[in-house]
Parts: sequence; structure tokens; C-alpha cells
Amino acid sequence: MLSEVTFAILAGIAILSSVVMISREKAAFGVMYFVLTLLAVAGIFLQLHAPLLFVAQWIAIACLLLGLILFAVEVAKLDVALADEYYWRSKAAAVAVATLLLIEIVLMLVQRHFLPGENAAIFLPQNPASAAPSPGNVMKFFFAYSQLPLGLLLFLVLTAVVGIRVTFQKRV
Amino acid sequence: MLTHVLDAIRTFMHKDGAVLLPELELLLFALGILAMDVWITQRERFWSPALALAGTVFSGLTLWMLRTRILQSGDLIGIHESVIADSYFVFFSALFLVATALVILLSLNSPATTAVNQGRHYALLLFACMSMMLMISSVDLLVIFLTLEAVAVSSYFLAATPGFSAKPDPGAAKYFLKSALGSAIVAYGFSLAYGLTASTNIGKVATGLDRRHNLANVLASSRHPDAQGAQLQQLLQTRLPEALHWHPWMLQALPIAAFTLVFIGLLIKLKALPAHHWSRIANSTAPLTVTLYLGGAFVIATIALFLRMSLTVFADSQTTWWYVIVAFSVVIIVVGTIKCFASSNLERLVTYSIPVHVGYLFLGLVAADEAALTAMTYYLFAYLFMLTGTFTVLLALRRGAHHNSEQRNTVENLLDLPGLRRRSPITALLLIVFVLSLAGFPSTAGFYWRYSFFRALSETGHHVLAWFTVVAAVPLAGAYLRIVIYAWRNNTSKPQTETAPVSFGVAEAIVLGICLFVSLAAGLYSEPFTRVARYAFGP
Amino acid sequence: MIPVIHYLFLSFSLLLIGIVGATIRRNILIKLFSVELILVATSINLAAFARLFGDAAGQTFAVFTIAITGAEFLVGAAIFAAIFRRWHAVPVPAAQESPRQPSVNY
Repeated sequence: MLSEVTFAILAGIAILSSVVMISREKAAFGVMYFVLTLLAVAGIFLQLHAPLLFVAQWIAIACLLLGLILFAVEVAKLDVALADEYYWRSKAAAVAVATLLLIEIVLMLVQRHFLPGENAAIFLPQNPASAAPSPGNVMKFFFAYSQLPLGLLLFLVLTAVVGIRVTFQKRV
Repeated sequence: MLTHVLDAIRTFMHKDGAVLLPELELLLFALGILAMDVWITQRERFWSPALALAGTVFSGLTLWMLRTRILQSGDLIGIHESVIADSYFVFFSALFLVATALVILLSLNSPATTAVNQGRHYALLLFACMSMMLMISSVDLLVIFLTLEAVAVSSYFLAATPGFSAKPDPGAAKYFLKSALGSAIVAYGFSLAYGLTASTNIGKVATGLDRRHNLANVLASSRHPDAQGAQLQQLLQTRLPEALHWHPWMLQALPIAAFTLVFIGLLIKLKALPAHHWSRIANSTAPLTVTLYLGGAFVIATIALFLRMSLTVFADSQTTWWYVIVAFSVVIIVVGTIKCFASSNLERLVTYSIPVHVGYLFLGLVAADEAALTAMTYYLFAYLFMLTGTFTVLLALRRGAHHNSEQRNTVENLLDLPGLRRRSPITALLLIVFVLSLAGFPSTAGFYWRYSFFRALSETGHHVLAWFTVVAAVPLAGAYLRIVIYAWRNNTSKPQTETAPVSFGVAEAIVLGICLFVSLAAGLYSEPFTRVARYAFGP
Repeated sequence: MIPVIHYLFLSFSLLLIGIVGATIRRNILIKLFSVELILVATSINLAAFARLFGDAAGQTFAVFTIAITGAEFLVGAAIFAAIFRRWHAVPVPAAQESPRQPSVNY
């Protein structure tokens, strides 16, 4: 019961603050609400018995704020709006997606009436496990199988560093 | 201790590292360029592109060795079954290496002060090529996503390469946002695919989705009022009683959602080409070689990834999702052709026509038999050369744009083309040949591709689609023919000014020669090229 | 345990809100955050499925997704800063002829 309530509160905060974020005029306020969304999602990770993800999410929030501080001089100037010749197309797409969202919310509210069972709409490929993977197991898996992904991430950072050097040019 | 390290490296290189050897070579050369960039002087600038070219050649040689090894001992799988080296990988990696080499050759003639002629830019090109090769060789959802992001990041910085103004083209911001949106949607699709099958290896994902699809079919058949339906109902009653409560659509909803999201995400990435929406007035300031690389190699990489995913992960639910593909392709083709007609800027015209070609390629996925797939890879192969040739001519025509104060010698617009025939008949002829090839004129590569596509679609029974490709090709050819007509005209409206002849550097001449050869030879005598294209699906 | 479908609904809502924000807003920072929102939705999905199957691969995938979220934000902010930077033109007194040199020299 308590977990359901906690989940409802956290999910509500996440969704509401994301809606508020995309409706702010100034980007700085959007940042605030985005951080709130990330914090709510961190709480959800904790509820999913994923402490590593909880910590990773906090680190991501810290990186976000650090990045914003680094570009703080620019954030005020980055409050830029892109001109768009075909804005009506984006609007049409957004209206379609918002309709889909409304349909989904309605479905969410009525689903318990016509979908049998708890894990409806998912036919599980294997039996659900009784417990989430323990952090120890996750770290073991990480060390055993994640060498290539980690290398790729480092390669991505290297590309970004070289790219930043290419992008920021002095006028010659 | 040194022997231990060397032994470890040797063992790695023999087993898992062999799969990654071509990419690692490119990485080595790129790091060498970066290191060298610190010390070389302005006069020794040429070492960077030389090293970059050497890198692509060495990587190509390694790829050839890998190909021989695959022929002898089958596909190589490495690093916990997350990367594979098969003929598909060899084909597309060779294509990427050729694309990179051609773009490096084209960059040689850029003025010394631009960003394009610096060592870092060549290193970034090699990184991009390496990421694309890694993306094609990955078979694990996590690795595919990470390499997709690596490809994307290198493309963002390539798009943001400053042109003459030392500031990046503002269209790069829009490109970044659209491409990032595409990647994020693809990631969500991957998460759904993982959730449906509890595995990240695409082979296992394919088996899991296949099982779901079969169960959905059984459920659907069990609802029929006939004898077979009753029999299946009995079977389900004994084996899986809880499944009887569910509608078969429930089982298919999430896989369809996963496929649709991956498809939409990749489409958004393909359509995100920096088509310079920023301002109607200003032309793009991004270097042309970069636009070529983005519109050529990156598009081919994304399509190759989608092809691999369609042929493995989403193979079995083909009948459910081909409606989605057809709808999208038709819309893209129609809208793209209209935009082609609407633009008069040469670079924009060619860039807007790229999504149209992509739309055609996706229609080929619908047929999905060997002939259609060979036609797809054949077209990707020829498309690279045709596009490179067109852009090389545009590059030569645009040269002198920012050096002359008058900008009289430049050709940016269709309206600038008349008089080209007198100025430089060779250039006019080359432009016409490449554009006609893109349009699908007979005896060029473009025509042979369209013909084999038409045949493949008709043979598999999709007659309406086959005739649609023929009918829709006509407006596109018309859009291209505008270029031809303008290029062939004489300059009667503008006053005759002192116009210098259009010149090509040695490197550009080499690139033009290669592209011309492929565009014409692949149309006139296509047997060897078709064999090369078929190699992608098995030696 | 909370049914997985609840987490799916949550992440799907965040996905749709992210797509709406990325298409309809013109402000580049809000667009960027909307895209990051979609990646956050992805990681929620992955964590929920990892919990369901007791599979460590899902959580590892989620960790890398979060890492990519942060990296992509930094890359985007860098590109925006490169494109939209303006040299700091300090208002000069009338007596001075030439404007001051930009204080940031890349």
C-alpha cells in the first residue's frame, strides 16, 4: 500500500513537473522543473530496488547543473528561439502526440476494468523474478560484460572533445 | 611485465580484437593525427590528410584480411557476442572507408585558413567512419545504441564545423536537436524490445518476438469458429489457460510499438539532414564536403542499421508493419519531390532529394526477397558515388565564392547555371551526367537500380507499389532535369562578365573519375556491381 | 510489487510529453531538455524490466542511458554556445575610436 502511494506521488511529480517544464517561457525556469523531474525519477529508481541507478541519476543531475554553470554566461544568451518556416507541421505533430497522450491517460484510468491480471498486455518471456538484481550482482555483470560499452562511452567523450576543439575556432 | 602486457594484447587481437581490428586501426591513425597536429607547421599541413588517407587504406587492407578469414572460418563474433564481423559488415565498412577517403580527397583543396583543412577535422572524420563501422558490426542493443550515439555525436560536430566565417552554421543546432530526438526515440524502442524478450542480443530478441508473434497467431486462429479453431482452443486450455483471456492484439501491441518507435526514430534521424532551414535568405555556411559526408555516409549508415534490424529483430512480423513502412515512404517521396521542385539553390535541391531516395529504399524493404535486398545494397553503393560526384562539381562551381568580392564566378543557384556550357563544357557535362544518374536516366546506375527495384517489387506481387515507384520517379527526374536544362542553356539574360574557367584540382579530378566510372559502368555493365551488392548478404 | 504496466504508462507519458516539448517549443534549451526527458523515460523502462526479470543487464543498460543523457546535454550545450555566442561588445564611451577586444578568445 505504501509503495503504491509513494509511486503515485513520485510519478505525479515527474509528469506534472515535466508538463510545467515544457510550458515555461524562460529556459531558466525550465531547468528548475527539469531537475525536479529528474529527482522524482531518482526516487522511482530507488523504489525499483536500483540504488546504483539512483546514484547515477544524482550524478547526472550534478553534471547537468555543472554544465549549466560552465555555460552560465551563455545560458542567458542561449535563451534563443529557432525560427521555423514550417512551424505548422511541428504544431500538427505535437497535437497528434498530445491526443495520443490523452488516450493513454484514459486507458490508464480504465485499464483495470477490462485487462485481466496484473501484468496485462505483457506476455512475459520468462517468469518474473522474486527480487531485483542486487547491487553486487549488477557490479559483477558490469565488470564482466560492459568493457566494450564503457570503451564506447570513452570513445564518445574523446570524439566530443575533438569536436569541441573543431567547433570553437578563432577567426583567422 | 612487458611480455605479459604484450601477450595479453596478442591474445586479445587474435580472438575478440580481430573483429574490431579495422576500427582500431582508424583510431590509431586518428590519434596519430591529433598528436601530430600539435607540432606541424603550416607548410607541413598536408601530412594530416595524408595520414588520414593512409588510415583508410590500411583499414581497408585489414578489412580485406578479415573478409578472407570470414570466407575460411565463418562469421566472427566477439566480446560477449556483442559485435560481429560478417559479410554485411565487410560490405558496408568498405563503403564507409571509400566515402571517407573521397571526402578527405575533396577537402585537400580547401583554403588553408578554414577549419576543414586542420588535422582535428580529419581526426573527426576518421572517428565518424570508425563509429559507423562499429555501428554496423554491433549485434547487442546496448552496443547498437552506444555506437548510434557515437555516430550521432561525430555528425553533430561535423555539422557544426565552421565554414569561412569561423562560426558554425546555425542549421547545425536544428540538426542536433532533430537527430537527438531521433536517437532518444530509438532508445525507447530498444528498451521496449529488451522488456519483451529479457535479452539485449538481437538474435535472442528476434527469437523472443518470433515466439510472441506465433502465440498471437495461434490465439487469433483459436477464435475462429471452425474445427481448427476449436482444436487450438483445446491446446491453449491445456498448455496456457491464462492466454485465452487475452486478445491477440494485446500480444502484438508492444512489439508493434517497439518497431514503430525504432522506425520513426531512424526516420527522424534521416530527415534531420542540415537542409538549412535557418534562413531563407542565407545560404549555408557549412563546408560542402561536410554536407556531402552527412548526406552520403551517415544516411547509408542509418539505412544499413535499419536494414540489419529489420532482417533480424523485426523479421517475423513483416506483414504487420509493412503498412507503416509503405505509408511513411509514400509520404516522404511525395513531400520530398515537392520540396525539390520548390528550391532553386543547387545544394538545397540535391540535399532535399536525399529523403526521396531514402523513401524509395524503404519501399524495397517491403518486397524483402533476395533480389530486392540486393537492389537496395546496390543502390546504396551507387548512390554514394553519384552523390559524391554531384557535390564535387558543386564544390568546384562554388569555389571563389568567398574570395572574390564580386562573387561573380560562383554558381549557387539554378539561375547562375546558364552560361556554364560556354565557361567550361566539361563541368556542364559532368554535372549533367551525375544529375541524370541520380534521376535514373537509362544507361546510368540510377536506371539499373530502379529497373531491378521495379522487377523485384512486381515479382513479389506488389504491383501497385512497383508502378508507384515508376510514376513517382517522373517528378523527381523532372526536378533534376531542371538542373540539366539550366546547365545546357546559354547565358542570354545576364551580361557577360569576366568569368574564369572552372578548375578542378588533382584530388578532385581523381574523385570525379572514380564517381564517373561507377555511375556509368554500374549502369552499362552492372554484373560485377550486382555481385558486390549481393556479397553483403552472404559470400 | 507494483505491476510493470504502471511503469510503462509513466515512461510512455514522459515519452509523449518529451516529443510534444521537442516539436512545439522553439526555445533550444527546452527542446534539449525534452529530448533528455525521453532518455529518462527509457531508463525508467529499463529499470522496471530489470526489476521484473531480476536481470542485471537492464540496470547496466539504464546506467549507460543515464550517462548518454548527461553527455548529450553537454555536447548540445557546447554546440549551442559555439553557434549562438556573441562577442562581448562592451558599450564604449564616445571618445574611444575602436571597440574593445572581445574578452573571450576561443
